[in-house]
Amino acid sequence: MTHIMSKLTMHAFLLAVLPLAATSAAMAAELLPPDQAFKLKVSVRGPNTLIAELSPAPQHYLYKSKVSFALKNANGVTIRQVQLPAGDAKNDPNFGPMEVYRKPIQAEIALDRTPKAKTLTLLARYQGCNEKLGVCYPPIDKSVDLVLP
Amino acid sequence: MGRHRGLWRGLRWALLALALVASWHAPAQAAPAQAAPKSPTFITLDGKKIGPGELRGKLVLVNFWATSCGVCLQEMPDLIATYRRYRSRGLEVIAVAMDYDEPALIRAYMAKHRLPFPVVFDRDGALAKEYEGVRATPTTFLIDPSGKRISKTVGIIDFDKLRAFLESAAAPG
Repeated sequence: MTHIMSKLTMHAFLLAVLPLAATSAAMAAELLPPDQAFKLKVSVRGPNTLIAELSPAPQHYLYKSKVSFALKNANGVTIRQVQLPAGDAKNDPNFGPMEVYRKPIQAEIALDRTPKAKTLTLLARYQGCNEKLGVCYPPIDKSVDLVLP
Repeated sequence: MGRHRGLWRGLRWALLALALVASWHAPAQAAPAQAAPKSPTFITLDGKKIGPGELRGKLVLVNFWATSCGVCLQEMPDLIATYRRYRSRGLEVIAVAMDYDEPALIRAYMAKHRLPFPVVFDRDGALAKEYEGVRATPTTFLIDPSGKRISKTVGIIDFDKLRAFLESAAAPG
């Protein structure tokens, strides 16, 4: 232990001048807050359809398989189908072939509803990474209150 | 006299290191200046407790990761190799899976890749909070043998640099 401590004192500078990643203070500062890295905009398109637009910032990507939607406070409304566009193919060494979104995409959410059902809350979950810095974000959960026509 | 000069030189390097290490921390992620980092007890997925006392005297690498983080999994083989190479020279590695991970997935990954170091599931996010509010993964901290955090790395580790440091700082092989 004494050896380790003395070596650490004498060579701590080595660690200091050689950060363990390409990450520096400047790069760390580039790490966008999750809501800036991945933006969500939801709109109502007709009586039975919602559009969720997901926009990754430049050099960011979303995992297609990690995009999901659910409803709450939605008496008389259910999700019938979610249509996600094809993404860019990515052959991940750990996950295998997968699709990612590097550009804004629109998810089309088809609803089943009773005529009287008007209000609902859309829950969106998505997860992605910053390709340049080589870091991934936690899953992001958003809820959006909507009124159907 | 020569010995004293050497000590002073060492002290100067240590002060330089402190200044530079401090500069790595992104302002948004830095801990409050007055708050001295605590040394938490880690509880592994297998229920084993690793307290500060057990880590004292070791160089500890704490790696925050997630099974859903491709970059984290990408660096895992190098982390395993580095641990195997330097464990006998005083290196300990603790892999902390983020609170949004799933224990079943963590266990499956541990088994498949035979992770040789302790794996902790940060069930309530307390460790991430304790370690300067880790959000993005991988984020890696190095802790010196006295328990002080000496570096923070956000993003994939440069293993050449890590090995260079370990060669200079770890006990002789």
